[in-house]
Amino acid sequence: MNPGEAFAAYCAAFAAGDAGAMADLFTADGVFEASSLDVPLRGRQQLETGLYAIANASRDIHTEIRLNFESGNLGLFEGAYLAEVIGGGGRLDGAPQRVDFKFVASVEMRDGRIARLREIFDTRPLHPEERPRVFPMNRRTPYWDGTVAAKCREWSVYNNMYFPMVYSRLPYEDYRALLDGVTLWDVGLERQTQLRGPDAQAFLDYLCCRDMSSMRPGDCRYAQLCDDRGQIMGDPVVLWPRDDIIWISHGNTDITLWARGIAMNSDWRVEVSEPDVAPLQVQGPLSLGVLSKICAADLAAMKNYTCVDTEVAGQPAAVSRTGWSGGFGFEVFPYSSARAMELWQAILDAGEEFAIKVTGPLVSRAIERGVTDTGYYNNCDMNPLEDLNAGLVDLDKPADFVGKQALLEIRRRGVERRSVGLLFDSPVPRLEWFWELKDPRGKPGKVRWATWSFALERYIGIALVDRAVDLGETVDIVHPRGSCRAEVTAVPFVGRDG
Amino acid sequence: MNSRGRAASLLEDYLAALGTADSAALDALIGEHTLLENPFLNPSRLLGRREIASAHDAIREQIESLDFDLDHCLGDAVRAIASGRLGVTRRGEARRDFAVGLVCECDDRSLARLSLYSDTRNARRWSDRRIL
Repeated sequence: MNPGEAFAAYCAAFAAGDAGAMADLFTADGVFEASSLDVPLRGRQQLETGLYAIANASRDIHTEIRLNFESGNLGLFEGAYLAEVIGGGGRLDGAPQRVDFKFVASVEMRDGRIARLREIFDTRPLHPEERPRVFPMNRRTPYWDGTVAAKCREWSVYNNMYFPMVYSRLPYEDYRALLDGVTLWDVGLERQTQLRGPDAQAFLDYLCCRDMSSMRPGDCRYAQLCDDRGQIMGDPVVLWPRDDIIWISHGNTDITLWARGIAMNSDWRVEVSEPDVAPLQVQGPLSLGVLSKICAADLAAMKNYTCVDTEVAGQPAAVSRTGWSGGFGFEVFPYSSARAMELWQAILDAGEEFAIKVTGPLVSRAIERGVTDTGYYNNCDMNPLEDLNAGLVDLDKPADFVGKQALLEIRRRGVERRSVGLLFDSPVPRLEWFWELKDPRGKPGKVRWATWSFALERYIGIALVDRAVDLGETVDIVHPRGSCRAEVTAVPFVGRDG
Repeated sequence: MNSRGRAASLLEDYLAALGTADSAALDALIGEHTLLENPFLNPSRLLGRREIASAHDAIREQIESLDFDLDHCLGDAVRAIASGRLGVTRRGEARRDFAVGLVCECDDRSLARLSLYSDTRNARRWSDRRIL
């Protein structure tokens, strides 16, 4: 095979998403370099895994070779690559996100196979958004410099902190890294409400509408917190990493302020504070391999929803078998952020052999697995009996808790709504605020989550609907780009390995 | 360098002249209808002597040194493709290196098209003033 034939075969296999065929074109030690890659892909395994993710991140792929020269084992090409990004959320004007660019490629052959393929192009037009100017009204996580260096390009704001969400890769590349490899997320904005003192556990039980009285040191537990009207304040994960420390690792609601207000001038013997603890998530099947290299504890022995008090890269830290991926992974909670970037770099270094990728939380995968995040500021007046995790609410637990009387009254009157899954019948834009919905009986509802599902190859969502809506029924939705219909279905959409 | 031709020679001449900021040599390579595509410039597509000369002036003001190191170049009498590395030092800043691809086409007298390919994301452009 000459360079021109090899490059043509490579382009055809790329358009077909056939990573095996692409990798077959390379020598065993073949190298693929591209301007969009942080590091080259080397060897059969990296080539097949990496090229699979890149080639399947787009649809409607066309490559045009406009000029080429060959001499012996060398081929040089000028061409254009045209494709539509899958799962990119689209542009504000409704147009799909595209990656169209011209390139120069060099192909070096050895023994009839590609020894080195290099594609040079400008990625600036593919990521036109510069990092937005930020003001100090919001806090930075201690890993800020690392996320900027890792080419973060979209942030949200969470607990008054900048939340790195989207990095300079195609969504499917991050998705594959999470399902097949390992990813590092800066979630330093997940704040800990720390409870200490003789009444710490009882006070925790008073804040949560799940029974927390059976928790023991080393346990983690998902919980929901309500206000006195029975509306969800947040749905944190509670950790008990040390005998005298309980953390409510909460989402986008200031639970510390809430808990301190409740504890203040009360009889509770509890100290409530927000410690300088900025967690990281290391998610994906290879996360154990990464963290085992730098963690003192035996992480392989840990069960889901447990935590251990240990050291990571020489720093005191709690490590938990938890995370927002709906799959295998860990969270690392250093007891201080004084050496945060050392920890960040140590995880990246340990992950190098596993091709670790810095990503944001993968909303697509979370929704496929029915993992959501509910906060007081945007919960749309939802109570926990209407949530996907309504089954965890324990109104019969002996202890009183905030919102108990209100929830008992809601139960007595009958819960009016419930959370369900949606299978959209046509493309929808990125959900930036809740969309209105009408069920077959004309009753309103709200679409609270919407995303592309790589597993199901269609758009899916989660909505709050009238209790009477059955699975299989069709609802009408109005979104910023028009309207569509969706079939009501169960959540999660896919299993742990789906 | 792998295979020489007239187009490849013109490309090398252009890169050398750009590196030494040799205005006369650059002007001699640019024609009335030359198209210059360079993502380090804004705008990145420039046409003809006046626009391209203005870009060269702007580059001279801001760039302390430019040097190209080509590892491959193939071409014939009228077209050439090359790849290699480009080192750039802005005045008062540290040198940065970029992978580059280059394509040139030429007519009887001058360059008809010179397209530079490089990833310019997170790279400051070569001139902050308006070229046109």
